Amino acid sequence: MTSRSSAVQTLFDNLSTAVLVFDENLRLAIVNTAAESLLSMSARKVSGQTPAQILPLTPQFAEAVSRALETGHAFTEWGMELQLLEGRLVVDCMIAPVLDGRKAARSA
Amino acid sequence: MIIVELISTHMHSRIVREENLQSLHDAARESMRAVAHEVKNPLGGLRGAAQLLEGELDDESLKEYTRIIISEADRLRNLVDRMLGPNAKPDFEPISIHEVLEYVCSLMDAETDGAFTVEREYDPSLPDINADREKLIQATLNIVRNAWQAVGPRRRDHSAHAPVPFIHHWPEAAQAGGKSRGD
Repeated sequence: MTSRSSAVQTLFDNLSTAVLVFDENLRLAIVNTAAESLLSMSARKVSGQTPAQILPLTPQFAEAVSRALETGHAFTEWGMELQLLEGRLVVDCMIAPVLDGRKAARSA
Repeated sequence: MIIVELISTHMHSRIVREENLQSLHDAARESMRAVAHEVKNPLGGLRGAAQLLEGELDDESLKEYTRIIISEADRLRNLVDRMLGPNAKPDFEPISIHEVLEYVCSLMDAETDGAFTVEREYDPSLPDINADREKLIQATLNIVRNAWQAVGPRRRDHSAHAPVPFIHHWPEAAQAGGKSRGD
C-alpha cells in the first residue's frame, strides 16, 4: 500500500476480519493485522509470497485463490479448515477477484 | 488483484452448537410438558372421585383404601411437578447465605430428631448474595439430605471440612480480581 493511503492502512489494520490481498501474479501485496494474528505470521515475512507458500499445509486454499483469479468468479467456503504449523483453524473464507477495479459478483 | 477475507468461525460454531443444544432442550421440555399435562388431568379426576367415594363410605376400613388412592395420586402429581422443573422464574433478592444454611440445619434437626449435628464455620465477612431463597434452601437441603443418607449419625469427622469454594464467582470478588489484573 502506498504512503498516500496510510489512513486506509490504519483502517484496514483495525478490521477484525483477516484480509489478504494478492496481486495478479498471486504474490501477497497487502495483509492486515487481523490476518497476521489469525495466521500467526508477520507481514514482513509473508509479503510477496504466494498462497501456497503462506499456507503450505492447506493446498486447497492456494487452489481456491488461483481458481478465483483464473475464472474471475468470487468464491466462498464456509468452515474451511486451515492447517497451520502450530494448529488447526476453521474459517469462513471469501475470495473475491477484483477485475478492472470492480469486485466480482459473489457466488458460493 | 484478489482479495481474501478470512473469518474465524471458532466463536460462531460454538454459538451454533449452543443454540442447537438449547433447542433440543426446549423440545424435550415441551414434550415433557405435554405428557405431564396429559397425566395430571386424569389424575385430578381420579383424586376427586376417590374423595367423593370417601364421603359416601361409612366403613373406616374401606376409607383406608380411598386414602391410599388419594395419597398415591398426590405422589404422582408431585412427581410430575418435579419432572417439569421450576415453573416460576427465580425470585432473586439479596439474602444471607448463613441464614439459609441455618434454616436447612434446623430442618435437618427436626427431620432427624436431633441426631443431625453439624460443625459451623462461617465467614462473617461474606456479603449477601442475590439468590432465590426457596430454591437455594431446596438445593442445599438436597445436598445435606444426600450427605446424611450416605453418612448417617456417625462420630465427628474432621475430614469432612468444606470451605466456601464459590466465593470466586461473586461479583465483588470478580471485580477485585479484574482490578488487580488491570494494575
